[in-house]
Amino acid sequence: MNNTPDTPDTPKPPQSPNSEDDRPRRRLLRSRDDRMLAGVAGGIAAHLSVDPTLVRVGFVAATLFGGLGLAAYLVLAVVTPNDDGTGSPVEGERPSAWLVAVAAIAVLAILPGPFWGPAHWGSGWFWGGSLWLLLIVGGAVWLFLTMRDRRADHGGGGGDGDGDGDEIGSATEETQAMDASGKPARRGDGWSRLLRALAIAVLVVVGLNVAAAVAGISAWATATGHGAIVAGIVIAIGAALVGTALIGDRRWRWLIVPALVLALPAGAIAAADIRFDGDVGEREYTPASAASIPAEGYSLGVGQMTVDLRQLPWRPGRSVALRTEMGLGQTVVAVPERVCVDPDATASAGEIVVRGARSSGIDAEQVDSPPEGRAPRLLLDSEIDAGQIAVTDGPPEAVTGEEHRFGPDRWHQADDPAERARAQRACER
Amino acid sequence: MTPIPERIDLTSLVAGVAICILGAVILLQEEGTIALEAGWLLSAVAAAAGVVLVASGMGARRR
Repeated sequence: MNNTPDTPDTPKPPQSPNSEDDRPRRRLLRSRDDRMLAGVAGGIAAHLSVDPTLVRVGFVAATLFGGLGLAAYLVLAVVTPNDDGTGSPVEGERPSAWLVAVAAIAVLAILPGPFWGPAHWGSGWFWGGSLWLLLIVGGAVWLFLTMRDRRADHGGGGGDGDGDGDEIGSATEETQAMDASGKPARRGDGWSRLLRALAIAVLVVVGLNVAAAVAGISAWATATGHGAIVAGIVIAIGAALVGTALIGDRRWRWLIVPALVLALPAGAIAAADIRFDGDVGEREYTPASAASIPAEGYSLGVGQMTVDLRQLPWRPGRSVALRTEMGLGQTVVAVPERVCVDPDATASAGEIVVRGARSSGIDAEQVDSPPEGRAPRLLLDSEIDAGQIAVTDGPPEAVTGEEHRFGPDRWHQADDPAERARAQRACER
Repeated sequence: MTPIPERIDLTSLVAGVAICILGAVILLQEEGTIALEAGWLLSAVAAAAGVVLVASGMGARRR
């Protein structure tokens, strides 16, 4: 690491009565004497002749509001040269590769765009986003490293017998070797600890995103009938683990993690018997007569299916049977206001709204047998694995939206007491 | 009882066998040979984790 901010390797010049904080500066430098991490806040404070605490509070506040403070600090740490103690930049100094990498990641992270996981695409770092996870993980790692370094300072050796302990020990030796002043070296300076903590936190966040993506692929593959492939991969990983165990190689224990990431969602989907068979996309059906409705009904694997029965010639006292089957998504059935709906609708997970009557959750169902009367009836047999079944007496767009986007923000619009009253009147005729 | 050779990594061995069993169960479920209840997964994973932990402890004692 070329940048060794807390390990002065040049003799410190005698300080004038007017310290560097008091005299005016011509350019911004990272402070050599007033630094907690990289001396950015101290340098800015001296440059602006303000209290460095105020600058530090500003950085922390800006970090909490969108992550800008952290990114700005890292960028300034990269582009601002160190003060050599005389108010001039250190000659020939280059920022460390670590610092440049972390600063680049931080800048990418706060920018809007597809730089983070799907949950944060288009939003960058902000409240509740990856920033908090990064700060929590980074803080925990930083605390752990600090405690280990302090334990090492107190003669604990800094190692617990495993490889990590040796790593800390060598880092400590490196810090000691760089201290040319003859004083006892400080073990694990704050800046290098923070960098290591940030790097590990970034790796953890990226790892979690990758694990979530792999788990999603595993679940999707199982739900679409490719669970045998997932099971085969899991068995292969297990067999590889057994093989490495028999030759006494412990380095492959990490294979347990990907095996579980694959197996758990696949097992859950298989056990819950969720199947997304069939096509994917949007389907709209507008049958002109009861005879044109297929006896096996309509089915879709994943997506949105709309069956508009408002144009059907509904006759008093006559019944029309409709069967729908959906894996994941939304099924919308539109009927005229005067039709009495006799539903047998089930959702393994999701919501069912039949003309204003709503049920939701795991194994939700809407089963009703309204008394027979003169009103035309729809005998609805509808199933969905995950998503929503909606029966409405309005246009399907009232549920699906004009642009056929479906999602929880629209689902609750179908919960309508007025429509429920209309449905009851239709069945009482 | 025959002692387990010292060079064998007991934790990896038990975890590998448990993962093989888990994969086999998923495969059988997919093929329709068995029909598992929805609650089996958590119990199976908890049991496997327990066995791996016990094996890990035994492996540490051997060392």
